[in-house]
Amino acid sequence: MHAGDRTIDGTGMPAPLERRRQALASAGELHRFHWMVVGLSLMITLVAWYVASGQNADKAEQHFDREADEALTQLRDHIRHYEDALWGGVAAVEANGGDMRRDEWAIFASTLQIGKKYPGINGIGIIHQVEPEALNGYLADQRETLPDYGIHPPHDQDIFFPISYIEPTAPNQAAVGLDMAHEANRLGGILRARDTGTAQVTGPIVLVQDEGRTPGFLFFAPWYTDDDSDDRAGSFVGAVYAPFVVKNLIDGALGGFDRQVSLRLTDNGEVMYDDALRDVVDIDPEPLFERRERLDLYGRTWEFDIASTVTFRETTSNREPIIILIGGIIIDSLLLGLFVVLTRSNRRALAYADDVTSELLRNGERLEASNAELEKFAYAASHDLKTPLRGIANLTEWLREDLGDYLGGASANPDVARNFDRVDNQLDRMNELIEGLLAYSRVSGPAEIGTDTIAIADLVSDLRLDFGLDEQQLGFSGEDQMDVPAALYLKQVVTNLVSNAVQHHDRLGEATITVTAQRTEDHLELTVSDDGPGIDPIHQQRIFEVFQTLGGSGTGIGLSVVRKIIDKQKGTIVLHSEPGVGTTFNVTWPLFASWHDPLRDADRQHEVLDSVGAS
Amino acid sequence: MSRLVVVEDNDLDVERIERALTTFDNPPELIHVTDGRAALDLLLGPMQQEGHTRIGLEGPFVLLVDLNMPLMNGFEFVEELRRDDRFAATPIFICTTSNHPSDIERIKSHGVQGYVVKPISNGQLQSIVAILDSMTPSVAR
Repeated sequence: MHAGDRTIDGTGMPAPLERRRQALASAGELHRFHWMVVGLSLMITLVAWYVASGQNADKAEQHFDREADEALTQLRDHIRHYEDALWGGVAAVEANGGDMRRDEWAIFASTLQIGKKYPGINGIGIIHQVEPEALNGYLADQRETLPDYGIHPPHDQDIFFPISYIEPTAPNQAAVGLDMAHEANRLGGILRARDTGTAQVTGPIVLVQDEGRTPGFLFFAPWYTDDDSDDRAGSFVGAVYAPFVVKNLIDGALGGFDRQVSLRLTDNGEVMYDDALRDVVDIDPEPLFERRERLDLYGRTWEFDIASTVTFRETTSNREPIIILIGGIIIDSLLLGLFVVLTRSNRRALAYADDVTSELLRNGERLEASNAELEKFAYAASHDLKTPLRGIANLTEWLREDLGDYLGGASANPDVARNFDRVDNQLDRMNELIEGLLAYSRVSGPAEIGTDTIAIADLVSDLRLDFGLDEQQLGFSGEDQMDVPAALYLKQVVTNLVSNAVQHHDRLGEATITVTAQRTEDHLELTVSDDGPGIDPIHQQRIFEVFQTLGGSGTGIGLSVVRKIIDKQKGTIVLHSEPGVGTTFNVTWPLFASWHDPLRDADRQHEVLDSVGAS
Repeated sequence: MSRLVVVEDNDLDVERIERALTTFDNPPELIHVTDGRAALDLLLGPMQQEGHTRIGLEGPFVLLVDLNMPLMNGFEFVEELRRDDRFAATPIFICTTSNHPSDIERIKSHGVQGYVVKPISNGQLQSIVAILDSMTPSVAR
């Protein structure tokens, strides 16, 4: 297991960072939530479109109904209007004493201003009922004012209903003298009028005066000698009548406004009118709406087929729903696109963070590897130095032994014995330095973080023995037994701090050195305080640096080892010192490993330990 | 005759022991090999061809074992030797240059009778010889 094997899969990462990374990775993908938002938005769009379409269709149908009703109402009103004209004629005849002469009728008709006030009407005239025995008298009467008057065409009925006069005469010339009895529709119409006393229309006919030969009908209003008589046929005198060409009637009734419906009119299956045969409105071959309406009018049943036109389709076709649909879909697409872009940028951020992290890890590993290499080198070098140093010590000792006789003799040069002592001193110093270096370089990371019980009171009492102090000089208070991580290192910290206090005390005989230990929730708080000379503030920065001594004894390694151990355990150490008063070190020691240092790998740790065990 | 078997590759350390033994009243025989492999051969196999006297199983002896040696280090040697039931109780002392607690722990975990931090002092050697003496039947050595 080496640096290259490590991948950024989160295993080497502290949990909070790993959670944040997971969150970012999660934000790099489209989730059910995103699809739900898009789906919901799409649904809203569809519903809005559907509702708008429905409203639109309703509105169009209402519009059609209005149009159709309007056309029918107009038509009916116009026909009523014509009926009024006919009854006006009847009234004029009655007022004139029960009959009217040709010239009088001409005055009435011109007063009526047919062409202007009754567009669609072809003319207005008088029809008399003539019994066969009265025929000659009737003809004689008519010929007084119109010498070439004659009844036509001949028929085999035994009653006559000739048109006596019609105004304006010129366009209706062919109708003058026309006998209603010659043809079933005309005869039926006037008989119904005579027998009911009401205005009646005929079935479809072709007017004799209509050169276009298009469908038309006649409209009759009867009058009698005695309006109250039960014998209508007997008291019937004649009828005021008007001929209609249906298309003229329609144009007259409906020409005034822009129709958006087309009409087709049939009477008993016979087509009386059809917009499809004319070029009045734009017929829609597939109309949006159609309707069939039956009108009972003056004795006939007229059937109207009403359909919407192309104009209707154009004016009612509303783009609103489709705009809602397209707009909604565009917004939904944008939303989805936005999500995709967001997740992609999250993925990019994650990839970037991963790259940076792995680069940092690589750098950290390189640094760690070279640190470990250095430590290993320092350890091996100092360790290997011990053997020849011990050799020199051996040889010096033997020289001293072998020269025992000379050194004890009177002629001995006293410098020799003194120099042996100096060699021993130097050897001791060298040994201390090497031991210090070893101690410093063997402080490794929290891999040995096994939890052990430390008995601080016992440790202090051991130290008391080592330094030959009494309980007054070196005391302990606080919690004794407790489980701490890396107990061996903590022992070393206490030992080094006490050793430091002892070594630098200027009045060791009456010294008061105190160790305290207090457990908090997640830390051990430890103090080592003395009443020694204190440390000048200008030196306080330097005392933790390796090989820094402030004179006197010591290698300058003890406190740097303490610092290094505490750093590795992620604890803290704070120095409070006042010259002439004393020095206190406050140490906090985490009771729980905050996290396993990913850069520290266990195998390398073992290598160091292996070489530690070597001699 | 009781024997002190020293497994040590550093001549000066061996010489220190030799010199110390000369000051003793009744020193044990010192047998010296330079690595764990040679020590195993000495105890478990024939070594006559190399000029050594095979130590055999007769008579009491104590092993003084250095840790860092060529071919086979001290720990490997101890593990190997303890596999043989005949040497399960043989007194073994480890010579070490380190007095670091973790190293001491490691030595103790190998089931040895004790350890000596170099340089070995006369007193320490005396204690070891005393253990050897206590193993010897009371009369002759």
